[in-house]
Amino acid sequence: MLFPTTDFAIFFVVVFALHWALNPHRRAWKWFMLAASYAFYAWWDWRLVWLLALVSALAQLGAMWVESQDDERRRMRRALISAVGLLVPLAWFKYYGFFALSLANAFDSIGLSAPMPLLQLVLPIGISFYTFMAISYVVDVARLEVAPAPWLDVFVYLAFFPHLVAGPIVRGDELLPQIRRARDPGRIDLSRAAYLILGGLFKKVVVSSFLAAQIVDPVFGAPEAHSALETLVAIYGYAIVIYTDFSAYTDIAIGTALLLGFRFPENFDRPYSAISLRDFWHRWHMTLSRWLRDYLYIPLGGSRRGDVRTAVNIMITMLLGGLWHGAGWTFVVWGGLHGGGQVIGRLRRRRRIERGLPPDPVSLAAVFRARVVTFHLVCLGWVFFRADSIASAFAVLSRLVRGWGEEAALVTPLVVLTIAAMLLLQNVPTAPSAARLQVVLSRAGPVLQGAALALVLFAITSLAPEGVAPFIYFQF
Amino acid sequence: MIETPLPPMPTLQDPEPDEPRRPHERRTVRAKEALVTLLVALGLWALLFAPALERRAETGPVGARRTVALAVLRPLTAVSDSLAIGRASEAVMRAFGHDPEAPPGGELDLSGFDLPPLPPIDEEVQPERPSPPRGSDPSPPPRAGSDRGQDEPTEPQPTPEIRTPAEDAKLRVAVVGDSLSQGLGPAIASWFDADVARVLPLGRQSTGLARQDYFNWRLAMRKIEEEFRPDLVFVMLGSNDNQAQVTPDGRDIPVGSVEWVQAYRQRATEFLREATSNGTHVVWVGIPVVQEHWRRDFYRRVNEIYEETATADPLATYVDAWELFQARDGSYSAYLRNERGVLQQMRAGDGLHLTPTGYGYLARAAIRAAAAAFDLPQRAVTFRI
Repeated sequence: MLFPTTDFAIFFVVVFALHWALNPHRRAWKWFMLAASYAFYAWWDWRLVWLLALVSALAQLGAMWVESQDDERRRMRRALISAVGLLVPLAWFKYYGFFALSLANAFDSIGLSAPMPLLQLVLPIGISFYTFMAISYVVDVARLEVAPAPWLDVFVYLAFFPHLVAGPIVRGDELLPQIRRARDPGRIDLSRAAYLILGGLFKKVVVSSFLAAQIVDPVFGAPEAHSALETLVAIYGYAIVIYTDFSAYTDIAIGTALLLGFRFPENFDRPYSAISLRDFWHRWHMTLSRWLRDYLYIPLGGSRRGDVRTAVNIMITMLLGGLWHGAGWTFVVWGGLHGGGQVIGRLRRRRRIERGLPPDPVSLAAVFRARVVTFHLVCLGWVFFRADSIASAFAVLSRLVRGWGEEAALVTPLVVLTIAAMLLLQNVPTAPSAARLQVVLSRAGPVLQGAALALVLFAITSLAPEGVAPFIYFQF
Repeated sequence: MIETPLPPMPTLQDPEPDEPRRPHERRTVRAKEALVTLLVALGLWALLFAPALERRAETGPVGARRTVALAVLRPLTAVSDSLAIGRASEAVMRAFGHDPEAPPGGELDLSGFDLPPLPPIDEEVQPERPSPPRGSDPSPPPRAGSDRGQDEPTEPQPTPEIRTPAEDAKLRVAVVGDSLSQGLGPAIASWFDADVARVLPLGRQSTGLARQDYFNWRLAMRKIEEEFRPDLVFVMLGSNDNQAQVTPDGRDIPVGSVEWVQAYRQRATEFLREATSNGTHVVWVGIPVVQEHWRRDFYRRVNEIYEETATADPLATYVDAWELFQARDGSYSAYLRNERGVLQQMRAGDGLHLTPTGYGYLARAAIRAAAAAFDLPQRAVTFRI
């Protein structure tokens, strides 16, 4: 079920009413929310619901096994084994085809038959997200940061529909206590939730759809047929498309959770205002970033074992972070670019400190320069992220060199204005007017608030094209 | 990313129950009030958007879901109209650049493309093929010599060649159809030499020939002919057509009936006639073998219709994508060898669409078919035909 559909609107109103009706009766509520979340998931493909249940069961079994061990080292070893077990379904569905095909062609080149059968496996939606949440739960139990929760709570934690498909990646200590305790029906932050949901809808169905259809898809689909200017604007456009698309999903997820009385962590903080790649990862997909930090980078040794080992750890973390998005060399390059960029950035910071300078630029001109450079590095990474092969990525990049002076019919004033406006919004502090708007809205009565929301929703649906594409991050 | 702790997440901190509200703080509401607000918002939105929602429901697949949706939306539209809300909302939609009268699938708009000036039709394109009349009748009459609609046997016609393109007279190519053609279009564009060919990928998702009330490809084709006058058109559609057809007078023709096949064949013929009316060459690409067995009979049947329709027209040719994407034993496989014998994943996860690699492979096959049937010159493309 897609968020920006009437199906979801009807589903949510029903769930909202029953959620609050059953809220005081926790056991009944948990069964209800589990059923609703599984129905939400089954709307895409009911045949894969069992996998979600299997991962939930594996997580709970792993947590119980881990918790039964008093010795910390053995507990961590059990956590590692459990995490590997949880990664098996993800590896099977996401990476088997890639490795089997690579092996088949390698064996083919020396005249041998393929050692593994080539299977087409449908990637279950959301598997990367709920697998990472399951691992975080087991590891947190091993670290004694979270106590093993009842079976039903763990199943609801992993399946809770607002975050199920594309995050944010919510940790056990954030969500399990909220599942355990009844939500407060007297303190619903409606105006903030409405702001997030409608803002997310606008970003997805108006901005992202417009730029994708107008310039990004045509140029990335056939770069040879487009000029350098079109290619450059399409790359900037993709930076906006992926941000508006993914942050829209997160905003709607956070907003719907808020209406149910749940609080999720933020996932984005104006990522294109970053002054370095390190800063970018403090602002982009923040819940994945902290997951990689807490469950991969720090266990690898973090920055505690010298410069070389730190650089290796950063590279491993970012390369695996790239591969988390999919099995493909383009994601490896994307992760490598971000890892390499952070290693170089770390050396530059060190050198500045040694010269008695502040680690990050301070003056307005230097901050502006750092933002521009970082944005373009991020855009370079997006080219590989968006392309279906390394060759396609280079085909796009080569147009930036060869295609100047040709006509640029796709670069319309509206395309340029949309991209410029979205970038400008990234580079101004959070507008106080947005907060004030929410306060004003919250003071109105339900009829007036409802009417205002209806008008905004009407404007968004009137601007939307027919047939909005699924969220980009569904494929990860 | 890694060394500095992430900023605290205030959204995770539940407010203290007795915390006094500050003057500029958002007011929180009770669940009942929130439910009323949501119902008012969705109800009013439905009232404002009722005419558009009803049009969308009408063009949905015939079945229980459509029946229920229409049963709800028709009274809502009546209320909306009686309160003049519908008219006001249509005015707003017009202000936003949407035509509320347009079919839900939209209308083809070529204004966003920088189209080259039209070539003179009679001398350069098809001297032996007269241009059909452009009157009020949307269906041009069958051409002389065509076997469509004619009882007399037809003479085999010479297949005219596609002209040799030049930088100042680029070959005009369009790719039309449903979501399959949206994948094929960019692949076709990438294999043509942009210096001598202008390729317009014009595919529209969720379209086909079965539901002309949602999107009418014959009228769209007419517009393409009038505004772009392509030398070559690639057609790939049909993946959404496993549903009842709805006639202009609103009657359903159930899928699987003899009447459905006849009506569909008629639509395919009229569409192709429109496409070739100015001497445009057409490559009709069939649907590739699909993973799900229950879909196969239907797609084989429509492929037969496409093949019969295309082979009956000297300006059209057919590409058997079903066979092209079969494994050696005739089964479906996501992994196939390309022309160089390299195994590649050609099929997308849904068992119907193709991967970008698969579309590239299909595009080369389709272009080679154009070369075989119409002598498409090597100069036009960037790979060896």
